[in-house]
Amino acid sequence: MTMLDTALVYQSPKLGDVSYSTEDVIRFPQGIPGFEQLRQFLLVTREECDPFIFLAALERPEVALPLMPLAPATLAVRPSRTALAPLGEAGEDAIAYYAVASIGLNAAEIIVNLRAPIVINLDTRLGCQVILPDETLPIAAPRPA
Amino acid sequence: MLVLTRRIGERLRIGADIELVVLDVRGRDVRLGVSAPSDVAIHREEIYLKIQDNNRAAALGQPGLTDALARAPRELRRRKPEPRAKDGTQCARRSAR
Repeated sequence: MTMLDTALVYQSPKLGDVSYSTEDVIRFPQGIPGFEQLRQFLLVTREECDPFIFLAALERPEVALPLMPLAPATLAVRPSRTALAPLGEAGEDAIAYYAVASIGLNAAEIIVNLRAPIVINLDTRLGCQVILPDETLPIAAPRPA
Repeated sequence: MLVLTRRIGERLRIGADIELVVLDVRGRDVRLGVSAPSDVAIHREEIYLKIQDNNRAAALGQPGLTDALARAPRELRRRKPEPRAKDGTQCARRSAR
């Protein structure tokens, strides 16, 4: 990469100031449903929100999706090779899965989308949201205990 | 909207590399086959719309979201809550302070 790897600052109304470098940016070539025009995101962690992390849109700082990491072994169905093709070549360890989480008032209720996980190739820094081919998986499920 | 009539087995081409074929028609059901490059996502519309709504609600939700998460008791956030006795006191296996 020829770009200078200088520290940049992402100013988010939800997450505060986050310093990052160009290498941290994750590209979603197709955007994600609801935000199809957005392409560049950061994965922002905040220790006090663990285990949740945030998929924060560089182009629209008010957009930050809470994500809950999903262990690959717990996935009911794996996305097809075709569905993951836009992410490029990857070893199994490089692929990370996350459920989009809707956090209710005071975080008393947490709903997760198990039908359409966010999938990120940590090697190529490419991501997408896949819709799993199992119609029994809920789009809005109470968070699994 | 462009409206075209096709028979079973006939195709439509959209641009240079997307192909739509009518596979079967049974009563009110139509089976379609789609061939498209791997970077073109194909979804049933009603599912796609639900996921759009869900993402928007999750992303643009309440202000003070991170504070709410930070304040939430850890057992609400962790995958495995600490075991608690029914009356709400800590289980014996946690050492008393």
